[in-house]
Amino acid sequence: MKKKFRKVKEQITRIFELPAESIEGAYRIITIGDKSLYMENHMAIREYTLKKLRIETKKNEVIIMGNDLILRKMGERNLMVEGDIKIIEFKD
Amino acid sequence: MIFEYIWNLLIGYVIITVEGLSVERLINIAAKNGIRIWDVKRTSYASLRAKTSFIGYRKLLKNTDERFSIKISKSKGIPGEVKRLFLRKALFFGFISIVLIVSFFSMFYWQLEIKGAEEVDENELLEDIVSMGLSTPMLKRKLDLEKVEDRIIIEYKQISWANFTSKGIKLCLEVVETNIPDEPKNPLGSSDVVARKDGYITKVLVFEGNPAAEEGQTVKRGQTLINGEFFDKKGNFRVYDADGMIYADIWYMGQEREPLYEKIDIRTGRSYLARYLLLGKSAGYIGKRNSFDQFETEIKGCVYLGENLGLPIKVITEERFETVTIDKRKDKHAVKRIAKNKASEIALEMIPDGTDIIKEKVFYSETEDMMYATVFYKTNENIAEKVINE
Repeated sequence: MKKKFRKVKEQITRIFELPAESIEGAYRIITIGDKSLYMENHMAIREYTLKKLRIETKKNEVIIMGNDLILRKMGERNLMVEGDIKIIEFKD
Repeated sequence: MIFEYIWNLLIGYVIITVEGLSVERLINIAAKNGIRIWDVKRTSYASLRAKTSFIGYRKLLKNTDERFSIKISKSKGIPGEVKRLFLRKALFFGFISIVLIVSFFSMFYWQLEIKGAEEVDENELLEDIVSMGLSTPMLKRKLDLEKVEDRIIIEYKQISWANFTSKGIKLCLEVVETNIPDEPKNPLGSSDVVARKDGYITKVLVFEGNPAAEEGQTVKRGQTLINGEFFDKKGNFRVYDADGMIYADIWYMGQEREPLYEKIDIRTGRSYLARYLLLGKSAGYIGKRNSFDQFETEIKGCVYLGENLGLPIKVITEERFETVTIDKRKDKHAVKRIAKNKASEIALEMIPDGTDIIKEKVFYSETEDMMYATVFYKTNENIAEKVINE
């Protein structure tokens, strides 16, 4: 049921070109080169070290790997990471 | 970014060190409770460093338990600096003392300056001002400067305006002096106004005295225009130092003449060649001598004798033309113009500098051989002249 409802929501979002993050709760990632990454609609930090940052979202998990990772900004729903970003991985 | 940085400096923030296992939990707690943290950096396996505001730090302490040890390693921003300043008591009290001392001294005027006094003796004026209660140092608030200004104007006749202006701790008095007219020699101060030239009065302005002339009247030089001594309507004898301005139309005349004929020499048509020997400055004729009464010459030839020897001997050949003198009539208009210019120069010399000419009239008359021009210039001048009554 839940899956069907989610699919209907996705279709409505696509047809009416509505912002997905506000309707579906999707997260948005904006990177500026490989030096900084801005993320909206995250849920919590799972793990944080200078080389790895695991971020939990509604749908999946986002893993950011690199060197000298610093959380420049940390808010309830958005964050900003700076450092030498090497890999951005999306894990279910 | 820059505004955020300035804002953080203004409100102040702390750099905290968090120690404990799974410090990510602290980050999530901070995020969930709306605690603003930034520049979060993992320093070791069980510690991290972050920045947060003073309020954020207190909130963190409240919302976390014994599992985390949160310590302030540094505080930054203006509130922190002010706090540090308060801890440095000598600096703080020294600063306050200086502010108080400067404020105290600026409540007084420490200097008094006078500007604009040329005829009036500055030192004398300064002494008088001091005697009126303005002596340095003086408290700014207690001064009634308007009264002092009025007294200065009353006591010093030469001063027509006085004003005090404040320039920090200096009080500046600006004065404007006026020219006092000379006292009349007559002890009673009586004088009349008379005409210094003949004229036709166009305007009468009486300042003092009784008018003796009116507009439209022709007056002669020396005639009284304003009386200084007279009996008024009630029969009282009045004595005034008469003064006023009387404007009158004045005519200036210049006259000159210019001859209508000019003498010119013309050739009759007769001529002859004359030859003479020139020895230095002496001349000796060769052949025919001069037989015309009036002539003009043209040199036709000049031969040097003994040129190589350097002797001053010359033989000069010249043609002589007989001439007669006749009277030639000049162009009448040109003669008129010349006569008028000459007459005009004479009239203009009599007119004072800077006076405007309001009308010009020219008259011509001629005789058989002469053209006469008379030029009149009209001006409007103040003909009032003061004469002291003995």
